[in-house]
Formats: sequence, structure tokens, C-alpha cells
Amino acid sequence: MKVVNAIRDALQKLLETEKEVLIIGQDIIDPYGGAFKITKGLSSKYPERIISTPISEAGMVGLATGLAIDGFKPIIEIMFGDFIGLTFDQLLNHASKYPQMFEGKTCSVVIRTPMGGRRGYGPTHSQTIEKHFLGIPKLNVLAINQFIDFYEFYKYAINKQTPTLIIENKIMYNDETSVIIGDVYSEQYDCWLHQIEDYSYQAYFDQNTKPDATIITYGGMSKIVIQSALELLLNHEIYSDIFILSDLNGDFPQLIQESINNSNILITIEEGTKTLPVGNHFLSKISQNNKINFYYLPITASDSIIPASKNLENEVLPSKNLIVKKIKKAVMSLNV
Amino acid sequence: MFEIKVPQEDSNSETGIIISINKPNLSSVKKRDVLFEVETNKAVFEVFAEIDGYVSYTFELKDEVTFNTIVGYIEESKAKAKMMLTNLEKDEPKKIKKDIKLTAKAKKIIKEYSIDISSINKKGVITEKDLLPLISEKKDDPFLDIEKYPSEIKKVLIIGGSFGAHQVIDILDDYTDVRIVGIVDDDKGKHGKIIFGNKIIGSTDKIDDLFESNYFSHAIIAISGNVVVRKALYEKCLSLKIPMVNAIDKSCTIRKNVTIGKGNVINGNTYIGAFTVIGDNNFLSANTSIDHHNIWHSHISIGPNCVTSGLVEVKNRCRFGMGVNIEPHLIIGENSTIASGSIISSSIPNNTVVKMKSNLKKSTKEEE
Repeated sequence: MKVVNAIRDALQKLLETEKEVLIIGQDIIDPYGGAFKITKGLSSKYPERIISTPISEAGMVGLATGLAIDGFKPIIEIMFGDFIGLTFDQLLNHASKYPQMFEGKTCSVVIRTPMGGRRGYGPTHSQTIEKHFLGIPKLNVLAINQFIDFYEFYKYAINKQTPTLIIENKIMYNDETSVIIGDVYSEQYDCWLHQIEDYSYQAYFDQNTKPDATIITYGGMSKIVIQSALELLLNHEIYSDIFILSDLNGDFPQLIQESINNSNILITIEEGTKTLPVGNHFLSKISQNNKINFYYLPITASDSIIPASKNLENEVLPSKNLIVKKIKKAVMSLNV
Repeated sequence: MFEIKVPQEDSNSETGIIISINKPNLSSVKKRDVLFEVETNKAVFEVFAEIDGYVSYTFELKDEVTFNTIVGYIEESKAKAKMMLTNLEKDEPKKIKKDIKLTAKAKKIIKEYSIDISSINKKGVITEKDLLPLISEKKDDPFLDIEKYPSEIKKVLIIGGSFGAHQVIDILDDYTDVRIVGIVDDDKGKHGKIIFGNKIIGSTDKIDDLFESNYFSHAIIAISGNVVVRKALYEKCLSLKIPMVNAIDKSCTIRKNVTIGKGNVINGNTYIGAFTVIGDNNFLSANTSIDHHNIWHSHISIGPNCVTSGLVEVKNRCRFGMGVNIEPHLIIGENSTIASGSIISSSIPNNTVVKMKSNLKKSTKEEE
């Protein structure tokens, strides 16, 4: 099943099973069904619970926050991730604070939004900007990947007591899902996939070989990173341990630290820009209560606008070639 | 009927994976329609219909196809396409199933050793490590007898995976008749690590098996700091009849009638004067200057910038720091150690430690 259909099915099941769930967004009702067709068909089945709004992202989150503290579980669709800047004040000063400010109140708001580039949508419809939201206490920032059980994931998000931002990388929408439970060899990716937590995964190539590189990534970069790691193995026999995280603000799996102890290098790969990358946030989390004695390499997009020309866009965003080149250079220099 | 071939868009690949089929079997297609997409190691490209008609393919989604071979047909009518598809199914399509992935190194080893990998029961990519046991099994194969290899190619095992190895590999990489096949080191924490593209494949206890299996033809000890270990490993290699190679940097100057033994590491810009004899298993750091008619025995390790004048004899297992200067006609006794910066003006008996007397007076702040 394609990711777009898996999200739609998850939302439909939530509407079926949880009467407090509402979906709010722009152009989400039929026949249009949202810019990426995630909500297509839902308004026909649940006309009163799919609410189409004017263009006012802050207003949508304000509305959802009010509904949430009154017991509803609103799911907001922000048409492009680039527009979540407009929701910042509502999230920072209201939604994330209310559960602590008003005793007994919860704020189970979910904001889902398609993030990222590689579609030639240009500077204001291709960005990856979730890093700006990681510093808001009590705001959960989650990212989907193709291995999760989508229904369980969205159910988990909507039942949190505080608001949740879900990053859906738009290039994933047409990818096939491949739900991983436990430890499974993937013919599709030529690697082992190991479920380390409910929605986070480790991809590795040989359990009996120490990794040369420990990589942390998330969301839409996961597929490119696995492909890059495969190329590193095929052409240079460089073994990578890849950790695909879903909760960007959550606790870090111990496995990551163990992997770094073996590889002595942490590489974070993301589609966001170079200045203050999410990788720095990961490094900071790992370094808490740990002695830092490893090499750190963040791989990001450059500090640039994202060009509409696909060729130029590929130069700005971290490509497979760039990832292979940087990791190879780092691992080789580390071992010399 | 038009034959569909996958053009070779990527010169580094001979095959590609079908990652999407835009026009399925028996679809009606127009000229310039995208039929399917092929992924190579480097890129994804589209294959277009060159005429109008109906398609039939020899492959399925995710199959690997060989470039420039026929992978399908475009027929004028759907009936003809259907007939072609039926025939293709009968004829075992010319496709390579995507099953085993090999690293570049593994491919090279398989070719070199003619290894049958059908016995490898592993999911995922096959690497050099997976093939090592199979190389050992090939030891009785006469093809793999060292004598059968072209004599000019030495397959060298580096013993020791620390800084000395970096120097040795750096030197040997300049030799076209040397191929480094791996490194062994007793520090298990280093196993699997890569030095200049060469992997540390295990401990020194593997040397016997690796040599017996013809994994390597020559060896060299790359340990610079410990002459006792250096000597012990060298003797182990001798007992196994392993030929030892020298690693002599190409920038060195070796004058007339110099004799150099085996297993020596001689770093950059070293000068060895006429009629000097160098024994075996010595480690000479950069800028060593050994003047004429010296005799250097074996298992000696010295730091950079050491200078001996003419007619000096240095006996077994000596260690010099950096910048040691030795005047002519002197003998440095066995197992002696000379500190950095020393100037030696008389011969030294065996087992002597020469230290520099410091003229610097240390004072505390209170004394000042």
C-alpha cells in the first residue's frame, strides 16, 4: 500500500473508532480531498467531522486548541510544511502551555504537514523546517517513515496529552509502505530492519560485523540513506548502522550509543539546512550524561533557498552521491 | 514488431533494476510514452516507446535486466502482443533475478579464486569477510599455488595495524608489483577497521591459516615501537617460511654495493651510503642517514633524523629515539637504547641505555 493510502486509512479508522477526532484543513473536503489527496473520500463519509477552513493557519491551530481543551481530538492538515511558521505562536504560547497552565486540561492536537523537497516546488514549498519547533517544550515532533503501522502511529499521536507536530515528507507519499515488526530482512532494501521502539528502526547489513559508521536520520531521508549505505557497502565495504527515528524529541535508544562505541563516528543526515541542524539536537541528547569521544558529521542541505529547477534543487539537498562521498571520506580518515 | 532494449546510460553498470512499469504488459502505447524506469548504481532513467503499438515484456517489476539486450516488444496489435507474451513466458525470459548482491571486493575475490558462492547461506550483501572461509577451502587447488601466480605480483599481508601500518601502506602503495591483501592486529577493537582502504581482517593467530590458504604470498611487520614483538613475529613468519618483503620509500637514496635483507621498513628520504649492509626486519624512520660501510644487524627500530657516520656497526634489537648522531668506527651493542638527541662518540656495550643529560634547570615559581 502506498503511504498516501496508508495515512488516509489510518485517519478513516481513527474517525471510526474515536468520536472526538475531527479533521481540519484547507481544501480537504471532496471532491478535491486535499492537495495530496490524503483526505479524499473522508468528507463524504464523515461530512460533519471534516472541516474546511479559510486560509488561516494560525486560526486553524487556535480553533483546534480550543476544541482540544474541551475534549476533542482535532487533526489539522497544513497544506505545505513551509506554512507551519504561521502556527508558531499558537503552538508556542498556547497549545503547548495550556495543559500545564490549566489543571486537568489536555491538548491533544495533531498537526500533520507534508514537508521537504525533491519535487521542484521551489523555495517556499519545499523546505524542511521542523528544527525550529524542536525547542518548544511539551510539543511533540514526530516524523513518519515507511516502516510504521500508520494507524497505530496516528492513534499514538492523537492520544498524547500535549500537541504533536507530524512531519510527513511529501516524496514518501507514493512510496510503498512496508510495516516492520521485530527483526526482518528486507529484500527491497537489501538490509535487516529491526524495530527498536514502537516507531523507530535500525537498518543494518550484518549483525556480526562492527559498524564503521553510525547514522541517525528520519522521515523522507530514510530511503536515500539506506540506499547510500548499501552503496558504501557494495563499493567500499563500509558497514553502516542506520537509526531511523520517529520521535525527534524523544528519548534516545541505548542501541545508538552502543553503535557509536563501535564505530566512533556519528553521522546525522537530514534534509533541513546547515545552520543549527536537527543533528545538533540529536548530538546534544546523546551527549547528556555521556563523555563525548567520537567524531560527529552532520550532513544537511546547504544554507540556501531550494531552487525550483530540479537539477539545482538536487545540488542543494543532500543526495545519495553526496552522502556516499562524505561518509566515505570521514570513515577513511578516521581509520587512518 | 519492435524490439525494446534498455540502453546503457551508465558506463559503470551492466545491468539495471526495473523500478516502475508505467505501461504494463499488453498496454496500448504511443511513441515517446514512458514504458518503464530503470535504476542503476548511479541514476534512474526512463525507457520510451519508439513506435505506437502494444507492449510485452520479458521482465517483471524489481527484476534486474541486462543493458542492450531485448527486454520486450511493441507489436502492431494487441493479439500479436498477447501471442508474444505467451511465447515469452514459455521461453524463460532473459532476465537476471535479483537475488545476490556482492561488494566490489567480493566480486574481485570470486573472480580471482574462482569461488563457488552457492554454499554461502546468508541474507544480504556478500562481502570479503564471507568469502575468507571459502578461500581457505581452496588451498588444495593447484591453480591457487603461489608459484602459479605471476612472480611480479606480491600479495602482501601487513602485520600490525597501528601507525606503523600507515607508513608501510603509504610506501607499498607506490609499488606496482605489490597488492596489499589485508592487515592483522591482535587488538580486536581494530578488527574491521580500514587503513587506506585495507581492512584489518583479524589477529596474528590467523597468519598460519591465511598463508596456508594462499591468501597472501608475502608479509611485512609494521610494528615500529616494540623490537621484541617485532622480532618474535618475524621469527614466527620465518618458521612458517613466509617470504618477507621490504618497504623502501621511493624517495630513499641507496648508493652502490648496498645490501639490504628482508622485512625492512625504510621511510622517506633515507640515505644509505655505499657498501653498507642492512640486515632483516629493521624499521628506519624518515630522514635516516647511514653513511658508507655501516653494518646494521636485525630487528632495529629508530626514530626520524638519526645519522651514523662511516663504518658504524649497530647490532640486533637496538632502539634509537629521534635525532641520534653516531660518530665513525663505533659499535652499538645488542639490545641498546639511545635517547633522542644523543651524540655518541664512543662504542656502547650490549644492553646499554644511553640517556641525555639535561642542562635545563627546572625551577619553581617560588624559587624565581
